[in-house]
Formats: sequence, C-alpha cells, structure tokens
Amino acid sequence: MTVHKVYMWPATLLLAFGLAACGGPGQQGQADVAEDTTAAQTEGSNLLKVGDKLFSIPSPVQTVLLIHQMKTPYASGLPLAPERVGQFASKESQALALGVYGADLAYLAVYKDGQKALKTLKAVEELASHLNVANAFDKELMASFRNSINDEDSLLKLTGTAFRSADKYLKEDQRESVSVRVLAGGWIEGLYLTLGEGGSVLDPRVVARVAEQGHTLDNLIEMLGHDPGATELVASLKELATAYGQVKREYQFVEPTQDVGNKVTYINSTSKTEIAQEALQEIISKVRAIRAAITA
Amino acid sequence: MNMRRTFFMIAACAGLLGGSEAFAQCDTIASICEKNITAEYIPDGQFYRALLREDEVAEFEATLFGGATYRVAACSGLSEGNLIFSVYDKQRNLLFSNKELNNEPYWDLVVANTLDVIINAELDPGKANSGCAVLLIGFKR
Repeated sequence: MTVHKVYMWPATLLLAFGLAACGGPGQQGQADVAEDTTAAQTEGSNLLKVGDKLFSIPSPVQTVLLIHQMKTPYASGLPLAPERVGQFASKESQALALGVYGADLAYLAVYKDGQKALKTLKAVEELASHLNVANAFDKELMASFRNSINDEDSLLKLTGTAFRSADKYLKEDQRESVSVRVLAGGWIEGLYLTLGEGGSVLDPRVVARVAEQGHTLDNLIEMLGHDPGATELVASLKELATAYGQVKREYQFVEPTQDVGNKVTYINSTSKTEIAQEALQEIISKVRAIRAAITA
Repeated sequence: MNMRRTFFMIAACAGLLGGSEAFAQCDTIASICEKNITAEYIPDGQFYRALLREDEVAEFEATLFGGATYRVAACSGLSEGNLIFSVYDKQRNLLFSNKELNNEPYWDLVVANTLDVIINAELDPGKANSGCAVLLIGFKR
C-alpha cells in the first residue's frame, strides 16, 4: 500500500532520537543511531513509508486451480522435492523456498498426493522455523493440516490462512523483504507449475494466464528493488519483464453492474492478451531458468 | 542530561510505544476482519495494512483474474463500517465503492475478464480520525 501524506520527518526524528534515548547514552550509541535510522527508512514499517508501495501478488493457489480445472495430468516430478529443504542455507534462499513449497503444497493438495503433501508441509514447517515465522504454522494449524490431508478444500484454505499469518507476522516484525521473497518464490513456482513438465505447446487458457502476469511481474520487481540482497533475482526478473514487453494487452472499460442485496459487483470490463509464439517461448524458458536458479 | 534531551527521550519512547500499540491494534482488527472472509473463500495469503490519519489514503494494486469471484474485506477500528474502500481500473474508472453503501465491511467482485485494479482505502472522517486500516482478500474456488 502507498500511504499519501505521511509525516515522514517527525516520525524519522522520533525514531532516531528514540533509538538514542532508549538504547542508552554515549558516543557508540549515537553512531548506531545513524545506521539504524537509515535502515528504518528503507525497510521500516508503514509508519515511515513514503513513496514505496506494496502490491497484491496473485495467489499461486489460483494458478494451481486453473491447471486442475483444465484436467492437466498430475506430474509428480514438478514440485520441488521436500527432501531438498536442507540445501537452503541463507535466509534469502529460505524465504524464496518457503514460497515455492507453499505453491507446491497447493498443487499436491488439489492432485491429492497426501504423502508428498505431508512431506512438503514438514519442509514448510522447517523453513518457517528458520525464518522465525513458525508461529504462523503453529501446532494447532499443523494438526489441522494433517487431519485434512485428504480434504483439498480445507488444505487450500489452511495454506492461504497460514501464509497470510506469516505475511502478517513478517510485516509486523518489519521484515518486509522476507515477505516479498516468499511471495516471489510462490509466484515463480505457480507459473512453473502452470507451464508443466516439458513441451512448448500449451493450452490457450494457460497461455492467457501466463500472459496476464506482466503487471504482477512489474510489481514484484518494484517490491524486490528495495532489497539490496536481491540484485541477481531482480536482474533475471527484469529480463523476464523484457520478454513480457512483447505481450499485447487490450482493455475496455464496461460499466459494472451491482447486486446490492447479495453484496456483489459484476465487473464487466473486457480484456484480451496476445502473444507471439516466439515471445511465449522466451517467457517459458526464462521462467524455468529463474525457478532453476532459486531452487539450485 | 539537559531538558531538550529529556524531552526527546520522552517523545521518542512515546512514539515507539505508540507504534507498537498501533501494530497490536492492526492485529486485533485483522482478527475481526478475517471473519468476513468466510469458509467458501480461500485467503490469498497476504495481509494488507496501513496506519492512517485524517484524510490519508492507502492504495495498493492487484490483478484480478477473469472467471474468479473475490471477496474484499476492509476494516478499521473495533466496529465495522469505519473504512471506505474503492476499486478502480488502471484508467481510474470506478468499479466499486462502499461509500454509498454504508461503508459495507466486505463486498464480492465477480470478474468477467482479467484486469489490473487499484484499491484505495481511507477512514470515514465522520467515524474515525486515525487508525489501522486492514484489507483482506479471498477468492472462491
């Protein structure tokens, strides 16, 4: 979210002096203040945010549901093997992997691979613990997961609820760069699962869904742009965005209709995407390369 | 320690405490708001919040996929109806606002074709001067 007219200077001053005052006196304390204040301005809470934005990234669950609705056969080799969870040593790679496994969990849920879903859940639990968001995946929630392992609807809701809790916790803890990485990992994995195992011939509905992700990609690049540790990822996403530049989108506003009694608005606007085969292949290969890089 | 430093110490500690109180308030509001994303909706996995004062407007961008039904829940304060939220397309055509609907705390959007939207949230000046605004999104299977 962008908040207009936030009073940045008073807030920054308060924080700067607050760190000095509450952190203890002395020259060393004052030196720390300057560093902490800079950090607060770049990755601090919404109280200090001016000009930078947060965006909604479409849930990978929606993407997974699309491929399931199309009756795309289950591909057990697509989700990341939960046994590989130990390979993610840095916090940055763990955050991306958490997003990847979250999307995989949804995939395994809709395709009813209960055993692998449980193992993936363990991987999620482990990463959440490393990232100090284990409280979003508390014992009660984990028990609900295990009890619902054959109930895909419940699993999808539990997945959404758990990841929302993690997102909330990370934002409250002012670790938005971790939150964005989790979203980025989930988004790339969602696309990767949509593209399927191999071939370059895709269902037109998949092509449309892939083509519709350009704006989300731009948002992700902007969000990750604040994270100095994400330079490589941002560079590869920018290359993907260049390929997305070849997607033609048309949008026509149509007056929405409203059903007040049922609290529903029907958004009737029309839109169309067009993408040349060559550009599509470029997008596919770049998505697979980025996924390979973040799971390497 | 001189007077000025004492003043800043008090102001800073009050500011920091106020900040954590505001975030704790967001947490409580989120719990209230979550009740409006009912069982038939899958949470989108994200938590949107902003601390607003007076006429500040929080804004975020989203892509809504064609063929999907979304529920947007918007809350501020411990009672419902304090937050005005409006949905626009990228050309700033108004698609929905709860302003003329008694600030309804949630609304469903049935999307025919994929579009990028901007969602604005602001406090109803007649009901609140400041507070945490929370937005939650869920979608139907």
